[in-house]
Amino acid sequence: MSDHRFDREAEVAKLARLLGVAEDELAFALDVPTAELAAYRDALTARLFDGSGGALKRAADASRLMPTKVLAAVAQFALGPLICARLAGIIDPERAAGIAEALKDDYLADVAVEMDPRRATAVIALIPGERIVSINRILCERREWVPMGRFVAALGDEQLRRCVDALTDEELLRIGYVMDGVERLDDIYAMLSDDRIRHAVTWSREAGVADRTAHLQRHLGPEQTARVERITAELDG
Amino acid sequence: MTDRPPMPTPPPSLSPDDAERLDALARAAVRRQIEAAQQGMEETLNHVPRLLRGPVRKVLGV
Repeated sequence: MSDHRFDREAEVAKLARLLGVAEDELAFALDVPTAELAAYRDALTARLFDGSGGALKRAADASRLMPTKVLAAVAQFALGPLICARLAGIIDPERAAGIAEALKDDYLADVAVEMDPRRATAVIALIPGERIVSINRILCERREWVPMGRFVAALGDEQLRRCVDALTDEELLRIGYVMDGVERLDDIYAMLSDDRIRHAVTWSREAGVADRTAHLQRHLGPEQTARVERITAELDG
Repeated sequence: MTDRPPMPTPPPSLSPDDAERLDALARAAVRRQIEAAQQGMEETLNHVPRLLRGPVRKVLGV
């Protein structure tokens, strides 16, 4: 695992989000190797999400007895996004997707922020692409880059393509800086036109984050790396 | 909630003081989650007809 300053900053941002604190509060962890931070975040995520907790498991079991629309109302007005996020990984995926369908976009965005997508991939796969895009738009407006970055690895190809088409180059890069599953980066770049890559490079330079973008692009495979190098050379020529 | 994984040990590279700070933040996050779960369950019960609350409470174990 790369241990560049940018990697450690991204890990600290993700850990802060998990702990529900400002990134500044974890400044003392910026010198910790990325691998140690990532291992700690994984273990803490397991502590928070795994082991359903007796009451949550029983609630998930009891939910089988209630109609989906009633469950959606209970979810929205009583349970709150944090508990809904935990339940998403416990209850039957088709039922969870049915509840999600009945929830308002803003509320579903609140739930998405609290979710660990790795524990709810079966549910996410059942959410239509246009709904994923709507939620993404809300999260972009809220500048929730870390939660969005967690979702990249959990999205199907078509869902990912819809998001790439819908988000701006700046938004994609901001998500990329903190994304989990950098192995999807190659897929994302392959979905971008030359014009969009040109624009992303230009924006990075103007925003003073060219180093961070170059670091991100180190995760690209040979084909996309060559493409980015060609486009960058054309810009400089 | 005994089936949960244990609290993780803070990264070994942290100083003892910083490890303690991180551990305190993590324990606070876990505590908030448990409190939110309990509160959510109680609020859910308010949506259940009064006569059924006892049995539902028994089922949920709250």
